[in-house]
Amino acid sequence: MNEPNLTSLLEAMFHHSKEMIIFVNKSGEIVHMNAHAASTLDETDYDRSQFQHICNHCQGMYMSGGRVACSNCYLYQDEIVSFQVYMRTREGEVVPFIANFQRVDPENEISVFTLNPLAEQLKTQEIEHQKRLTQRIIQAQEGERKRISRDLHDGVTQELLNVLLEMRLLKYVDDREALNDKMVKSEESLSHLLDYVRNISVELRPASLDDLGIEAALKTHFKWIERQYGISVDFSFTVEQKRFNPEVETVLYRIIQEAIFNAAKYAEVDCVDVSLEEMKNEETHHIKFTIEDAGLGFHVGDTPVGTGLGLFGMSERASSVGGTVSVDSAPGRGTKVFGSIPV
Amino acid sequence: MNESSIEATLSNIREQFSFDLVVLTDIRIRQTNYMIRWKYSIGSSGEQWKRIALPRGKGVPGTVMKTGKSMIIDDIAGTDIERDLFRYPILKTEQLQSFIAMPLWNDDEEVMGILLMGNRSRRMFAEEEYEMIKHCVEKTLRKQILKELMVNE
Repeated sequence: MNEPNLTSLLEAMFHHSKEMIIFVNKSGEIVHMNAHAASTLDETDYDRSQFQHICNHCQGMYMSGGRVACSNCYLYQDEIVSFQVYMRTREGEVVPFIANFQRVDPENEISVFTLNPLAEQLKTQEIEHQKRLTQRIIQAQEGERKRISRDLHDGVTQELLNVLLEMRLLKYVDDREALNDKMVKSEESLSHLLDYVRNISVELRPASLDDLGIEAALKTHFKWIERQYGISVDFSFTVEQKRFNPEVETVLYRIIQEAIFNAAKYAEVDCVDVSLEEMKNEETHHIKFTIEDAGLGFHVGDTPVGTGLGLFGMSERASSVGGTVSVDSAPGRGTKVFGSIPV
Repeated sequence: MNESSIEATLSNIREQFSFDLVVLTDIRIRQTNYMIRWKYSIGSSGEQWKRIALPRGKGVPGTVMKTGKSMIIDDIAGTDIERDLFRYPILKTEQLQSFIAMPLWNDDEEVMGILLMGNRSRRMFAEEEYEMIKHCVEKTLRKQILKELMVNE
């Protein structure tokens, strides 16, 4: 019986496996890595006389919501299985891997870190995700068009038709006083119509945002919110600079609008706090925004009650100008939407 | 006491037909400007109704004014209204589940105001019951409103 012993099998596996196998010590220095790992990872900065550190290659773990972060780093845990991590490769790209990290030698505190490429799986997932998202965006767009079309039809067209009929009838009124009465009514109808059209246009995008800036536009919007939903907005604005880049102003306006809509729809509150403040030092200049309610709240990880597009839209808008948005909420503890945008 | 007598009438209607909430808009709708507010409320759960002001054509008053007809909803669950509940702030803030909303006409066939009577639970409104309510509203509330409008003019 010429049974190959386990050690030589393991050694063969280590050297020939298409899986990257890396042994690291407790501080993250690479003790051994197999040929596949060595050929995949970028070793240009590698000084062969020294230990190489895993952090030179690692670009962070994948967290929910698409963020990449070093919090909860695997190095400080005994065992994590099947998590996603980003590594820098020889080609200079940052590539996702599915990884396992297990402490195999507790005495010397050596762990084995195995990595398998994930790019293909991710790509299909991404396409699926994109499809779903596109569908929902199309739905939302269609819904919005339907609303505007209904607004125009029910409001503007009907009212115009009324005035038109009234005016046709004016021709047949002989009595001067009766004519005056009827004309006053037509005038009223027209003035209501004017308000109606103005309202539609403000709801779509307030002109004050372009003409007067974020503070004025928000104040008008909060008044509208109060009348529309019976919710009062407590607004604190401590920003010295009055005007910003139009993109930044739009992003701020839309994020705050969306966050208040969410509070109005789901939080069951009659008051929302909004604050905008400036964070300024030599290097950075940020606007910090907070929208907070003391309402029902929700589990942040849960499937959204609505389309989920709102929260997604907020973070997309923020990242389009290099900013961030976070949501902090728990059932019964209210909801806080906050973040900052560089200006 | 003009206001109190309309309120007393509303209060009677609420009691007689066991509604949880009875609200009435400003009764000079034709002359009032663009925004329509609730002016009288009996049985509301807070102060939020006072802040609500909807553009003409929006929300419950808007729907009633546009159609000139009563809305009778036994249960808002599953209706278009439920899906867009935030566009009907009075229903949302007062958490109404069923309601009747009706226009009040003056003698020139103009809407003077919108009356909304609702419950925070489901309620089947039978045809006769609706007729009884409508009859009562016309006999009491409509008369009262016309009287007040005359006094004020």
